Amino acid sequence: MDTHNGNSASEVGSSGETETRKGIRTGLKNKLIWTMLGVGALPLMLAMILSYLQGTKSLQGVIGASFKALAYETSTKIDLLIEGEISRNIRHAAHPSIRSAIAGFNQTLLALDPVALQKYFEAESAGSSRSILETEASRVLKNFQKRKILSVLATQALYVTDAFGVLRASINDFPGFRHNEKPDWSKTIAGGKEFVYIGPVTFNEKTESFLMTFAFPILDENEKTIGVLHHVFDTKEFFSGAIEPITFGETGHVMMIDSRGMVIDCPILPTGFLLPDPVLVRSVTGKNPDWVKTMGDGHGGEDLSIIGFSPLEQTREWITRSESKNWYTFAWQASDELFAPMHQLFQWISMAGVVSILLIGGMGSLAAKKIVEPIRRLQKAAERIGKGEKVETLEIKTGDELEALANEVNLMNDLLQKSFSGLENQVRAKTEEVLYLKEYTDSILRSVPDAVVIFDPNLKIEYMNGAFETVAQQTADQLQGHSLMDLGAESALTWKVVQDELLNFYSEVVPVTSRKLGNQTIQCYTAQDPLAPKDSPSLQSMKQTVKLDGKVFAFQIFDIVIHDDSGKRLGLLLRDVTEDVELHNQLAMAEKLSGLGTLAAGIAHELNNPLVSIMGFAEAIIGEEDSEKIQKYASKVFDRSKHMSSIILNMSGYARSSGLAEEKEVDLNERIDAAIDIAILTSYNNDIKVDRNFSELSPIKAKPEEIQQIFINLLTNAVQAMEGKGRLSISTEGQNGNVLATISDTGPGIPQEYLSKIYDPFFTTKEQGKGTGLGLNIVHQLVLKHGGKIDVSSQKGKGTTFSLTFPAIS
Amino acid sequence: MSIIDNASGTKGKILIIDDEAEVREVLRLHLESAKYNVIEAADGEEGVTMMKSGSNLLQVGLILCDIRMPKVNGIEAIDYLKKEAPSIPIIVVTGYPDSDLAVSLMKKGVKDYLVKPVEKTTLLSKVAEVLAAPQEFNYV
Repeated sequence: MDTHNGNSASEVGSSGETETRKGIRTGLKNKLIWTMLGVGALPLMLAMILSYLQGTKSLQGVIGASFKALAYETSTKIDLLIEGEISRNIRHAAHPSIRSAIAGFNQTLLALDPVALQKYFEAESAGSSRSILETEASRVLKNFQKRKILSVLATQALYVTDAFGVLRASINDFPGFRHNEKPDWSKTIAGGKEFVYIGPVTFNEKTESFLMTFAFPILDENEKTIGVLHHVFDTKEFFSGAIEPITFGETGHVMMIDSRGMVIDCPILPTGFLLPDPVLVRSVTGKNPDWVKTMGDGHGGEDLSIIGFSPLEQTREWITRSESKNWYTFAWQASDELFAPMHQLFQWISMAGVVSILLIGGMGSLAAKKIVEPIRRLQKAAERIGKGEKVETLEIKTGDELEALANEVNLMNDLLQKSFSGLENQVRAKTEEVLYLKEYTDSILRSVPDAVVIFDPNLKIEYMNGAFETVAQQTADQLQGHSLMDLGAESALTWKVVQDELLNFYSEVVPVTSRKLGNQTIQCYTAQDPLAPKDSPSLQSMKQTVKLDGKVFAFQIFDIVIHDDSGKRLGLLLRDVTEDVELHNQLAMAEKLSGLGTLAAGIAHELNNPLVSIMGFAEAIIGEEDSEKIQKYASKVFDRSKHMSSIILNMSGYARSSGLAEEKEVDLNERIDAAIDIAILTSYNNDIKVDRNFSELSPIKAKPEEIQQIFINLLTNAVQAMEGKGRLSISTEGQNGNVLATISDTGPGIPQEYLSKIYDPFFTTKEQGKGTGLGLNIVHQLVLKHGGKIDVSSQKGKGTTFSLTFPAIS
Repeated sequence: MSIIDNASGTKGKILIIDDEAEVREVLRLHLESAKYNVIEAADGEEGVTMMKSGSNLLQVGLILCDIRMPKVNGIEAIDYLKKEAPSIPIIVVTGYPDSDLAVSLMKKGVKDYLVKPVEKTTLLSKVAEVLAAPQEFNYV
């Protein structure tokens, strides 16, 4: 299970290696291995080198000490050997036969005068020495040599000389006849009773070997030297028994040299070989036993050698007195062999070092893997958690901080997953909600019977609903990103109007404002409340209409608030008001007709008064004979008739439908005059003072009947409000390219609570049957239709003032 | 005008209340041709004032009254006159051919409601008819 997991994890890891191990230059595992090697191997190596050096030094010391001991031991042994030999020879010298023989000869010779003595010497030396070998003394000497000891075997000659240096006894024919000039004789004969002569090692051509001579005094009863006992040894044979068996290892041995460096005995070198290295010789010929390290070993090797040496301390005294060269023992081993253990030690240590490093590396790798593996798992898990993937609970049972960390990660992961799943659910729920809301709003927009178009900041179409597709007779896909001007050639003029309004609106929209939301500043466009009263007449866009395919569309432009910085968007609402317009026209007509009843009475009254005069004066003319009176009455009839005609002219067109008339240039003053004439008749009271304060005005473009209707309605209201009594002030003036008309009455005024409703259709304060409630509504519609503006102000008990503005033709 | 003048008079006085001077002139022409004594008032107020002054309240036998007039209109004047002198007959001569108005005024005791223009014969016969009728006195 665990292995399987490990494999899959490593597969995942290797597939995403480059990606997942980003930022890891050296793996933790490698670091750990290197650390272990650094921490473990370096001190180990150092210790090994130190111990090797120390070991080498100690070993050298031990070897040196051993060699020294060996040399000393050997020197002591040889001392003893020589001492033994000396004492044996001293005993021989004290042999009575020899002593007496020497004494006899000495007396013979002492008796001779020097000439005779010379003769004797010549005679004797010429004579056969054979006779000497047959003497008693010679026999004694030969007896001495019967014992099979080493020194006997090494003996080359054993002979006796008298006080004159003449050979007196010998074991062989080796020695010469006279010895009085030889150092061994001369030194011994003069040396006293204690003297022992040990001569130098010299090469003897006769025996072709190196010989050394020991000489001992022969004493008489008075311990007076009477002769000399000479004992000549083959040096090598003499010493070899004591030196050559001492070997160790393959090459280790002891040798003996004299102070000149000449080999006295050596298992390898021939006796008499002079050691070529004076430095070596000097260093091994100290006064006391010691050991030295030298370069070169005297045996041809040039390497480092350890040599133990020791002088022959006992023998040295005799040699010194003999004025001969001192002897030294010399323990040595070939440096190859000597240092073999050290090399081996070195090899072992090196091997141990290598093995240690390999072991540290290998075990470190294993340990590092063991340590790093859970860390890697942790890292991978953390990485996957970081990516938001689902991660299984980590199973790390190391019992240390890693396990604690893994537990923490598990805990964290659990919490994260919980919150993630919570979040996921929330996100899902919110997404569904958002989708539902989108669908909801989309459906609403789609289903809105009015055409809705949304424009982007460049006034290109961004969205449209189905109703607009019907209006435009094109699909949304065809129109998206196009402007209104691309909608079609036949209706281009209509769309131009809307486009102009869009541009107009675009420049009029409240510019960007900064709004504070919390501590955040939001750049947005302030929405215009479509229900809020607008200052500018052009913002009453819904009142504007366009004609498309015989239908009338009212359109409204609105600002869209989007809380981002993508720029301001405008919306266009198009509503088919064809029926509304017709209905409205019908209503307006009905209102007009309903006013006709009252008006008709007024008109009748107005016409009847002149008619009374006309009829009355006409009747008077009929019965009158006085031509002057007839003349007067006739002129009155004519005058009244003209008056009637003018009244009829003013009344004309009142009931005509305004929808059919054409727009033309209209003089506002004229229309107001006509309206006053009609309105004034709508009360039984005829007590209204009319103040006309007219200025010269630019014409406006409108249907004259509609303008007259506006003022008839307003003035009728004023007259009726005053119940025919009061002051009606009417003034007109030109103002900034506009035409301004003000109508003030002195009626009771409009209550404040009604001011906002006066333009509402069917709102009336008149008794039932007296008013339709459409009068001011129609006024409002007509004013807006002609691009005008109407304001009202009223004070209770003081009267009401209406102000109207129309754009003049510039 | 002296008291004698006022007291004399052939057929008594007729008061014309109308704001149109020419209408008054025509009516005077018609009535004087029938030998009626005519006095004029230009509006309701003047008519009422005139009725209060002198002996008019006793001498005036008939009032011809218009409806649409400044200051005090005909309806108001009639209301006042019917209250103060209910016995004086009133004939309305107006330009309004308004039957509702006519009915309401007749209910108030107006003797007749003539719509302008009124022919001379019609006017004189109505005036004669009203003057011939016995005076209505309210004795209560």
